[in-house]
Amino acid sequence: MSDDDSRQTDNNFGADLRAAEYVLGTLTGAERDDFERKLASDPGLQSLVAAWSSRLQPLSDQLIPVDPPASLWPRIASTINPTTIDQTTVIRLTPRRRRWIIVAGAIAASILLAIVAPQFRSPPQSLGVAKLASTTQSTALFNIALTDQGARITTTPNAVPAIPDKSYELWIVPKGKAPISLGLVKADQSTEHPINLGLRAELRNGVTVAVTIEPVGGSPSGQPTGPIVFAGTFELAAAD
Amino acid sequence: LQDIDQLLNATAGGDKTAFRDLYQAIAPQLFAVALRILERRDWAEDVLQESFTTIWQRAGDFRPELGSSRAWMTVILRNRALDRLRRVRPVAEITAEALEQIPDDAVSPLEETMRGSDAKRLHGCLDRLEETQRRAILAAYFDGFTHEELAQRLAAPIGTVKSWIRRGLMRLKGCLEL
Repeated sequence: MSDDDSRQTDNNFGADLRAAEYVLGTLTGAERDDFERKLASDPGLQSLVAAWSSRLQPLSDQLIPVDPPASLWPRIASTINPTTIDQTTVIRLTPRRRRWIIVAGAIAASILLAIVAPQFRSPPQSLGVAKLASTTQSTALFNIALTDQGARITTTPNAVPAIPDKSYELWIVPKGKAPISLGLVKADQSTEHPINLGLRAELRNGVTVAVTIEPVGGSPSGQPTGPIVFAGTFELAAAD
Repeated sequence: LQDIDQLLNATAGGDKTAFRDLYQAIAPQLFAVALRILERRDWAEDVLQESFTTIWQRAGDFRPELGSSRAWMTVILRNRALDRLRRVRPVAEITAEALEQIPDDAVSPLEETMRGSDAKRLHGCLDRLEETQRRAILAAYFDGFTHEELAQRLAAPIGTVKSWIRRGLMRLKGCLEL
């Protein structure tokens, strides 16, 4: 126990302990009710509770966020004010963001037109897919799609946690051969990788595809060095 | 994170757009906390709704000098979730599962890599507790077990469990203040 703690009076010590148990959730029944009554008007208790909630907050922050159903916001909006708040949608963009998206969209559209228009290319069709489930989390996954007539692989994350100071790297793992890197994939947005004929030949029906954690920029050796955190099986689309 | 503080501050002033943005920013994290404790989507949705109604009403009570707005909102949500849990979890149900083991908190490489500095410090300090202390604290936090429920699950007298938790919490605080 630190000097600080031993300098505290028994009374303060008891209050701190009750604040800790209150935040942890083990203060129950009449004791909890009693504590909450005092808490409402006691700034000292309020700061003890705030300190304990900050100490334990990383435990809640380590949980992977889960999107609540879209129906929940209108329920909340209607309880706080039945008329004035926008109940229709939560994802309405603010004007500034909308303006940026319009500008970015216009630029993207003109580039796309320049590339696509001469060839009258049809919308990308997926020739094969893989769903890479997380080895540690229930909701996180990477969706893989082979598109662009087999020339490109698109990797789309879903609820994938960011990993500071590390990179996710995507691999084909052919049976009996060394894994082949497809490059880095991002946790927060889709990533596209070109697929050459050699890689295309390895993307057979049933081949394992996996994501490992590697140093920033990818495995220095060209072979996986970190743990496999996502894995799945590639499935070719049925031929027409 | 400062963003969330500002949104909560604006919410206290009755700014409904800020409140909606606050919901967008923090609801998925709070929903995950509710799901972890309650393990049922319908209850977690109810608790999330109640919590945001409370956040709207009490946003003015938040005192930024005492801690983060995130932690303040998490306390509101956890209290709601624990209230719900204790209304719906009958004592009989717990007795039937009395022998069920509480799993230790094995940490995957992914989780380890994801941790920020606060989390690393907290887990470093949790690792320095005795195993019984750590398990009791984590089970109380994540599963919402009371002293009585923990005593059944850990097959120990209530007084023993209480003192594991109290001594564990105080050691944790001492370690975090080093």
